Amino acid sequence: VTFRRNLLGAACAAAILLTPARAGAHEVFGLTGFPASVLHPLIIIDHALAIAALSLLAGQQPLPGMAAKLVALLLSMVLGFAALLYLPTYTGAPLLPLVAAALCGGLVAWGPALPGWACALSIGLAGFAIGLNTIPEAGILLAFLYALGGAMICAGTLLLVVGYALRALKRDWQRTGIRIVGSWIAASAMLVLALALGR
Amino acid sequence: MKRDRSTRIMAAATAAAFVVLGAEPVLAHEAHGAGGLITGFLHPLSGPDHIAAMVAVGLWGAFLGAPAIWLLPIIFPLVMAFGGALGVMGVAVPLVETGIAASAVVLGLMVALALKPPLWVAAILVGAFAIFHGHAHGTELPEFATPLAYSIGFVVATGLLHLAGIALGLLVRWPYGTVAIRTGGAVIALAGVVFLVR
Repeated sequence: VTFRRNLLGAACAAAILLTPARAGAHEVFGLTGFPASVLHPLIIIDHALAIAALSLLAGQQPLPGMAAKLVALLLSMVLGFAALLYLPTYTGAPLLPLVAAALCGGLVAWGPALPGWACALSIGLAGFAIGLNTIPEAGILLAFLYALGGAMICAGTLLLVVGYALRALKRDWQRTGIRIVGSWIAASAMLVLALALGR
Repeated sequence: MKRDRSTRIMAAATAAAFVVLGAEPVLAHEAHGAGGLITGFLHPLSGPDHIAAMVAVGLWGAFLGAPAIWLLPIIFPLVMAFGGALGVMGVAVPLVETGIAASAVVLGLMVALALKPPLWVAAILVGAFAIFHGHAHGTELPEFATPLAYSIGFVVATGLLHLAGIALGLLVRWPYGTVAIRTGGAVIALAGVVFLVR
């Protein structure tokens, strides 16, 4: 049974990696296919801003543990992606990554330690917003897997890398530097939200 | 050894000067063409009144010491975003340009006179001026094709000007540094008067 499961897993992985770029036709930094899907959130500026904000929050807040933060992010991205399939005409969705960036950036700027559930909820909101706006290039299953899998790998990796890197910063001026960057993210997001809502 | 080091510093400074002075013609097309990160980044740097006020915020923060030295650069962008939102949504704020010039005068004077009010007074004062600066930036935001990139650019540039002010302000640890910084504050206040009259 274990061998069959492994075989099935390997077959799925091979199918995803070896399929031509049709499923992820968008070219990112000269790459196509699944590697392009992984980098895709970084070239969508509001997604990148939301990921940066949630990663800073994850690194700044001691609770919950990094594994729980990662699970909250990935689960909420899947939920957001599922919501995309059932709520494709929801008009407010494109603004949600900016709302999440403003919220997470604002919390980073604010500074004090949050309860674990509040931190996980904020990261979850950001993940949901990104998942809800991760729109596949084509209407085929593989394109959906590429888009969601790529976004999850990108966001999850950044959360872990930035999170653990920030934990090493202990000095007051370093912690304040994180808060300043958080305030920059929140300010940028709030301005564009005002522009979108004011139109 | 010492000579080597000073030669290297001179060479680096000369190279930096070439880069900074040569940057404008190279970037001029991009800056005034499509909206984007570089346009937004250059926007606060193109107005001497903005530069003077932002540097003064950092200098004053350094004079006030902790926690103001770090709190003011956090408060300013957030309140500036609020002012920017007012500008974006077309809410009129009277005398915006006068407010920006006045911010250079008042903040410059605070530095020149080495005034140290309570933290909440400093925060309210800096926050009030941030609304004028934000409004000026915000009213120009809708013209750009990529407003988010533009916003990030100008927020980061504004923040870096604060940090430049703080870095200069750290000279207050030494007596001659205090004199230099207070003189700098007086120069900023005088420049603000010129902006007001102009």
